[in-house]
Amino acid sequence: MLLILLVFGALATGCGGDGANGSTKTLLIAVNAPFSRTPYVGLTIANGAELAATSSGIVINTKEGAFSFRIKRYDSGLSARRAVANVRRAIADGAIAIIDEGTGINASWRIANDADTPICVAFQGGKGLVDPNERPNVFRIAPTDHGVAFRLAEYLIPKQRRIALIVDDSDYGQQGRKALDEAFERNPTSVAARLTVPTRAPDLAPEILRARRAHASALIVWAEPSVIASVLAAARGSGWDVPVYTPAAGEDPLVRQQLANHPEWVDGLTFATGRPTAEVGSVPFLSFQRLYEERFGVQLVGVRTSAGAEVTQPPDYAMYSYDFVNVLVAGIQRAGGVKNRKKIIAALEEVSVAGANGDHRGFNERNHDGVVDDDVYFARFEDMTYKPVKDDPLSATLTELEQTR
Amino acid sequence: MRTVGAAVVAGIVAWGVTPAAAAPPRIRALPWPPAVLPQTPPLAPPTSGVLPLSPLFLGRLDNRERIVVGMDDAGKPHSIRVLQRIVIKRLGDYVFAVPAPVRSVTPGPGAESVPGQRENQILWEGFSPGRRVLAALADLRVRESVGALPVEVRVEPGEVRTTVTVRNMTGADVTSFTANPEPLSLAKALDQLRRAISRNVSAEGLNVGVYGKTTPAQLRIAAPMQVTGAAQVEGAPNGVVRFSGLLDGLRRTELRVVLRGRPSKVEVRVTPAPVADRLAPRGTRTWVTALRRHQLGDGRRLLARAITAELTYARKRQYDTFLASPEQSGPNSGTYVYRTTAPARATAAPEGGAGTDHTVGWIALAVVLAAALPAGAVIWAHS
Repeated sequence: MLLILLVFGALATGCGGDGANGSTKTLLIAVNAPFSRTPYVGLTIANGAELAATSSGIVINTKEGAFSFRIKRYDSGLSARRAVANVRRAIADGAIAIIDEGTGINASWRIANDADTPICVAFQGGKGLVDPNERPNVFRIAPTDHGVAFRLAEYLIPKQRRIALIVDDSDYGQQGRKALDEAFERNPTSVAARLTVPTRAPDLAPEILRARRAHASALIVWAEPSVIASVLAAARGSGWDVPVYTPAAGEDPLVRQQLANHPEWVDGLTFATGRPTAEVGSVPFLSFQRLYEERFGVQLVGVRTSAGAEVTQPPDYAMYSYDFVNVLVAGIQRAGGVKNRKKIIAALEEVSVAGANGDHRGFNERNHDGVVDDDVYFARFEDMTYKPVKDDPLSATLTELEQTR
Repeated sequence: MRTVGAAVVAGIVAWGVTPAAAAPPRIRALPWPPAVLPQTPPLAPPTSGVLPLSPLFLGRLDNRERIVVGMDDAGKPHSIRVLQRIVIKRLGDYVFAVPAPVRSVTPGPGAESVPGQRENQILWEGFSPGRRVLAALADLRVRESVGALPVEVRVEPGEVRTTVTVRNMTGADVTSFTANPEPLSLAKALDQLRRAISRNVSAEGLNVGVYGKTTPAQLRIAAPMQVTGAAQVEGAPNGVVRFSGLLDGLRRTELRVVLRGRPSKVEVRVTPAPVADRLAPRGTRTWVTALRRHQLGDGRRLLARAITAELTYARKRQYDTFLASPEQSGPNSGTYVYRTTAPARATAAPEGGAGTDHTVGWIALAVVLAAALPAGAVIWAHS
């Protein structure tokens, strides 16, 4: 009798997430992200995936039966070691796919590949992370560092500015350094200085002074949000009104939170990231945003505009994990089920879906990056909210998103 | 204006008062090329995947292709590579797929974006800031592409002489019709066709009014090909024999060049030739003007000429796009280069190939041993 109870108990726990609910089997999608260290990034990725997996009530019918999805979160804490351990756990849990912030991918992809499990990077844009030949199971839906760096170069070089390239010593910063070196390789005269700053430095005034003495007339800061805030504080605090450009980290709420006492220091900060709206207009993204906010609530930045309105953060990065789940669904349908995992990975190269922003989203045999480099736009902060710049052809076509309430 | 109208009406009346003309004309489209001509080129693999979303692209595209056909010594194609260069000349998003039996695709010279590859598709996606060059170098599967090439090259070596034959392969039999046309609509259709030819765009919406019955007719249509070539032959002046010719595919389908000796290399360059404007009216700029001056001539014959010109032009345009253009009706051009080259060495053995070879080897060894052992025993016994 005890044995029977144990067997039923084991079945009830779902055997690692592949539990059956009536005739519909539930597939596990693991989200491996730094929920404890950079909660904005982690939550955004997880919420986007959750929204796609559950809110639209996805049940896919295949030759092997009907499937639905559930999301399980694994906290990497920005530690590569922990991220790799999480991937092992996710595979042991029976995950059909892993959505990853990107930390530890250099080691974890092999583990997932051995289990024929696709990994989708939904935040980091490092060049080496994705390679269809070497890492056939790794995909990415997020702007690439290559795309962001080249777009920054394309945008700034014609402005005849002498640029100081400032990166921090994090993985994110070092990947950015590589991308910036490549992007400015042919225009070395545009670079006034190259500086690496420590992530945990209490004050960046000496580094900013070096950049100023190198006669820099613009700064590109490729670093974690706290470092970007420190650079702005050091520059503006010393009375230097130099224009500052960043990758997507510049829009992280943390930057504005840290500078909440000096909102004018944020004014003019320009960041490059994947466009949240496409040529078709803002309707697809606004629909996605409405769904997101109905489900998870409005994401408040924690600062206010000069008029006293609360500033909200559009869920732009959430659309990437959301899109991947939809691509995965299309891939499973094309593969005809989940038994043959290799077939799912192959199918992911052959399907496209409508992305949350109205763009096509998909991969192909030569390219496992779902955000094309052309899609990087620039937005500039003004009064704690940002809007697309007007002096870039792509950005000028985009509409401004509502960011207050 | 009134004078012009009166002149046109007078022209119509004077041009052909037939018994059938008493009834109002019926509008009839000229034979529609996609319906009556062969479907290829452009290449369209039947299993090419389909984008689940509607393609998005901008008008004002310019498509140029260079198709390089690698031939063996006999002229048989062993490789087909296409450099497709699409220039987008407007601001906005683009998403489209070019169907092709593609083995691999890489960015071509001057590419400002990277092409994607799916099963039988070259994929383009991105944003054009006003001008964007999309260049792809595609290596195609020969067996599925060779049938759409415009010419066949044969190199036949003899004891003393070698014959190089270039044959236009674009001919097709199509179903058409003859009828007694209403003159003004025919004049307008002719002018429309001539305008399309001069602008290098598809001729669309060619309708004529016809009186009485239309009679089905069979036509032979071919794309005219301008051929220029060179063969490297020892003993020839400068070591090269050059040749050229226009193969219209009807009156002249073949170009034969006899070489003294065996060529070390043959290169043939083929371009779809402009469709000669045999439709130009005499003494006037347009057919509507010719009609006003009562110079239209025999309507039935003119209609037949218009149909032949329309289909010849359409067939020629097919060969401008060996790979489909996202804007098939826009300006396109293609150049084909056939050259003798060494076949690429296979990079990967077919699955199980090596194993099979070894198996055959072991079997052969076993057979030899099986035969040799008794024979050896007999020899030893008799020694």
